[in-house]
Amino acid sequence: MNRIVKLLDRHVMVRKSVADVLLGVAVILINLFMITVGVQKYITTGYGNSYGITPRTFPCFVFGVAILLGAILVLRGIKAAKLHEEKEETVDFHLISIAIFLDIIFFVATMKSLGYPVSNLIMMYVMYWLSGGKTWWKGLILSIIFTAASILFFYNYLKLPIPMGIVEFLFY
Amino acid sequence: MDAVQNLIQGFAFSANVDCYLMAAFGVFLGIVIGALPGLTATTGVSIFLPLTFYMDTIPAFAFLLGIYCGGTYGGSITAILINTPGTPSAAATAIEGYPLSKKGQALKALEMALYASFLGGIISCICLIFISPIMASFAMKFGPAEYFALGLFGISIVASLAAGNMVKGLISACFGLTLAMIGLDPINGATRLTFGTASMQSGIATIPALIALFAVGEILVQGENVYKPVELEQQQIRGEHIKWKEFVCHWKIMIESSLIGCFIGAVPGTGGGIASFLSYNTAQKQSRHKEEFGKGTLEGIAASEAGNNGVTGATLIPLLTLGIPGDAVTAVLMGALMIQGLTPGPLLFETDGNTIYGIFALLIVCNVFMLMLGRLGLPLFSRVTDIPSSSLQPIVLALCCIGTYASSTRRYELVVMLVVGAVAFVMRKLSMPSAPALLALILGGTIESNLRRGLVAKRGSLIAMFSGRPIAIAILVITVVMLVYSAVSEVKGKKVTD
Repeated sequence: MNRIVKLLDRHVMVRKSVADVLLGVAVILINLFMITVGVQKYITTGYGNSYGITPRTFPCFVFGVAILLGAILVLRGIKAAKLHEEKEETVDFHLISIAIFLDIIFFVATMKSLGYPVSNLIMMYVMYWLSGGKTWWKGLILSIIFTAASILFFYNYLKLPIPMGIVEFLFY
Repeated sequence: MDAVQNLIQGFAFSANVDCYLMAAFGVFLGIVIGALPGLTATTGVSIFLPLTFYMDTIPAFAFLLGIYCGGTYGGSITAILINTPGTPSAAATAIEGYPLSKKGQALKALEMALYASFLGGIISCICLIFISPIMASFAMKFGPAEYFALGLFGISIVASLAAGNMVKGLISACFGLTLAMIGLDPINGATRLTFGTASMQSGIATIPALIALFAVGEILVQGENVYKPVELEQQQIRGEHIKWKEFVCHWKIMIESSLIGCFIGAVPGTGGGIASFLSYNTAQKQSRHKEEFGKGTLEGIAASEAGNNGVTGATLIPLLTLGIPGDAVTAVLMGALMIQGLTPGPLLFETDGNTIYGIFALLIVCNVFMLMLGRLGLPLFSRVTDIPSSSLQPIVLALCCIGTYASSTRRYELVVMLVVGAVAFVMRKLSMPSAPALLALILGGTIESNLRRGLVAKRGSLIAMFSGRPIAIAILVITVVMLVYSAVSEVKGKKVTD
């Protein structure tokens, strides 16, 4: 295990029933918002509607069903929490998952400005360390080879307009 | 005989070096992916789907079907050698394969798995070739009521059978339907749920969503495995080759299991896992040596592998004839068909007959390559688990990102991948299946547009929409019965556990 991975060894442990209740509450709240605000404000009815069948009909049905399912999940979670107070499965959320997620955000945010080659190289190198890699040069070689291969395939062979950003001068 | 003639034409249509090379490469990649614990055929097809955007239809499908067939078989290698099924459908193989390896008969077990997989795959192809045209001509009579009922059936069954938690499966389906509603209304073009963002008017594309649901979510979950290093006791490939007699004496089990696989594969919402266990249990019940099951028997491996590969062709039947994907991997393949400009459904056999029979022919070719590569490359594939996750994870992540970007060359698709990926991660942590979400995303448009067309045609009456439509009513009744049955079984199961 490398130093970065050790540093990120923090996690939140949630009881499964509590997680289910939280999920159920989230489902209810999100769908309540969608059915009250989302449908009314962000779905225009348009033209050509007849017999009361509009673009809002199906969304209302889906959000309604989701609220019902969320309520069932909450009730079941509460019941399970009472039944298995001591011995119960837990759900772990590790900090490392957030770090990987941030790594992807970095790529998405910088792909246009820094360019695909640099962003991808950095993302892969960080991912190498987050996956438990220990040798700096191995990670670097892996990132360089994959980035070069993907540029050859997508940019040169498939002619895909990949943003080259700060290294654009290399591709003229 | 029409089917045979069409198949010969299909072979002629697809017979070129490009297609065969892509098929071989796909099978190779598929076996590697299948052998890697944590990566399934669905993940493999999702990750590599973007590479096919700029290919012609036939080579693209040769590649994807190769990954699918190879991935389904590949799971058996690690199941036999390290008792860790590479894919869920190889779980039954591990029960018999690993004890055989421990007895020093790993080579025999691996060869039996390969030959049974090949036989299962070929029988499944034959079923696909003969049943599909009949189903397609039957489906020509379908109207909005039938398509609405079929779409609902597909999603409900996948959701209710998923992971033993029907409520979570249905919530996952609602999430997929919500994603499908974003963008322009399918009937009158009104904007829906775009929240004032211009990019969202184009809706949520299938590719970023499926990559997020099956690959990004998995990467985030697998990332945590760095704290749980697993010591695997790998058995060496040793012992004798399987003898012809040992293979032939199991012919009945293999054919029976392949047919079970075909039947299960043709039913939406099932898949290789169910087929392999059902075949394994059937073989055990019928065996003269029941006591040997669980201690390492070739019979069990033959049943399980013929069963799970028997699914590969049959799952394409509802996809190609009705436009309803039966499981996650066929949902991804449906996305691939649509990217190539083909609309799955009964008309496909009339408009693109050559392409469809070319795809059928290539499925047979993929199975042949699976046999050849599996036989020659066993020593190589058995070392796949030696690839460190620190090398594999960055490559998979980078493939997801560039693949998503390649689908439309817009950053918006990457943002979709990011958001849906985060949701997929939470879904996985909370044991919520991803397959219903993808299926709902793909089928959402079909369900809604057919419902609305049907309702408008019958002046807004749901009863009038279904009156005089016995097939649609039958499908709806089956859907309701399956949902009630799953709910009752779940409640009963929970009571027993409590």
